[in-house]
Amino acid sequence: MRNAISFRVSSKGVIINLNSEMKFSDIADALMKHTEEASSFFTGVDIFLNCSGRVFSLKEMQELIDIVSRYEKVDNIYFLNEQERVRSRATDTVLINRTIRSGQKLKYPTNVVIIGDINPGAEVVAGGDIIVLGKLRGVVHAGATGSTDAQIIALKLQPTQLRIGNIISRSPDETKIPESIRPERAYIKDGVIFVEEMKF
Amino acid sequence: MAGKAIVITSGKGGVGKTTTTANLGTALAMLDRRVCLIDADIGLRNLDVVMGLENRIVYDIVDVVEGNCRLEQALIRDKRQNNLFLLPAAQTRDKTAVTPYQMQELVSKLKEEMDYVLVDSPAGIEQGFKNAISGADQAIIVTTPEVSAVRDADRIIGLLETEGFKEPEVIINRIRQDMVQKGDMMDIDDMIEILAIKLLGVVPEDENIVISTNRGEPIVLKPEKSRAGQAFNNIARRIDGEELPLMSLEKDTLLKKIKRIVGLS
Amino acid sequence: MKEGVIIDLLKKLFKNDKDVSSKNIAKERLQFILIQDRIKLSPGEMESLKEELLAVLSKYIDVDSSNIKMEVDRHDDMMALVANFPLKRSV
Repeated sequence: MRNAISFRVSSKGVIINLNSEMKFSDIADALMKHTEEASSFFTGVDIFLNCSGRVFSLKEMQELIDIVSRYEKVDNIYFLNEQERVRSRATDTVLINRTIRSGQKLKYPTNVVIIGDINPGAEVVAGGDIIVLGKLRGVVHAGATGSTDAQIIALKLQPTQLRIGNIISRSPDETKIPESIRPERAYIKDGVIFVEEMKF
Repeated sequence: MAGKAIVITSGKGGVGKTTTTANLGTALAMLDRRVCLIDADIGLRNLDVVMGLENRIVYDIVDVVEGNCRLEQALIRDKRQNNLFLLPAAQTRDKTAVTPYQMQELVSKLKEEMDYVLVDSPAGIEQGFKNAISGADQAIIVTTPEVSAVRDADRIIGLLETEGFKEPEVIINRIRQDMVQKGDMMDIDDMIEILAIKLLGVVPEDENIVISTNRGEPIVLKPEKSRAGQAFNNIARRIDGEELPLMSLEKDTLLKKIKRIVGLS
Repeated sequence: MKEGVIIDLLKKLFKNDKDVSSKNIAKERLQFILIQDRIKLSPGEMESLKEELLAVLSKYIDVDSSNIKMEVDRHDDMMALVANFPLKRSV
């Protein structure tokens, strides 16, 4: 499920994308909740409310402005109407049943599931999610078409580099390699790639 | 100010070209020179791993020549020396992805910014080798004291001379003084006599090299711990114009000699 | 057994096996290989060159055919094939 609101920082200020597929009340609630939990989240910035192609009534706009004003020290509030680039999640999935070795590069516009390892020096690029039922040691790029809600899952996540959307993260230089197999998930949160252990 | 481009090559694989490139580059950078290393081994890149920089690669040499990025975007700054850079090879392409002309352009561009551009050549004498030597002003041949490696070095010297390289110089790598003294390994004089070119330096076999490669830390960073590290440092200083006598390889003491004869060491 | 060890030890102490040490084998093999590489002659062609030279020379002089040496020397830009045909001592 996609979030009702999402944030993006631009050089001009903070853009709040309002999900055009959700009910107005859900968006208002989500925004309200965020202002309560993080009232000092934005200080001294301009806020751009992106209607994402949807048309709001005057009343709805007023309500949104009231909510956003609850953030401390917001300078200006603007309305935008940018259609987001096609970021619908890839629905097709490709299944690959082998190990991807150094020098091999796979590129699919879809989700990719690999039953096998991705070795160092190998590269897998997917439009959607990448799921590795094996050890991920090479370079992977999920959401290569710009989707920031793509995720990467591996039974053992030891990548040379992870890329999701247009964000890159590399493994720390001093890595302690855990011996055990434990599934981990990488995703973008607040513009940074997070990795968390998957609990079952 | 234009720097100097040096290709490091060997013909035979596995003699230590990449280790040599990584160490000489790091050692020159430690002498406060601006240095760029180019991995010309497209499809079998390794210099990034030896330098411990593999997780920083976003763009590579093929991206540069194909115009996917600017040259500066592909250069990786070393994590220890901030005047040392690496232009990585592409791993998912092959040697034909770059032409000798493109290589020449690239090297001359880098020479404007750098004091030294070191090109790590792939093994072999095919296109990859031809790419690696184009644009270089000088060549260093790495060999080991083995018949096969010296033979290939000789072939390479011949090819370099045909290509107009004036005075290629040789580094003899992985020499084992104990074996030389037993007469079980060709010594330096044997090899220089055969190859008839200038000796740039001798590097002893050193297990610390394996350890440093495991860690992705060139051995010259800790020269006090290894003779190979000292040897690479000396070679770098010679490249940089210093007159430095060849490192005296350890002479066996009488005690050691006796120990060896009676099989104690 | 013990004797063998002692002889070995003595051999090592007074070793005079320089010519059979593997380094010299390596050097000789290498030199021979490089002759062929440098002048691009196969071992067979090299052998027939040697035989033909020997045949020509033998017409005029007595050559010690067991000690012929052929080498390629390199000096700077120049390479030379140096063939050494020792003369038989006149009896």
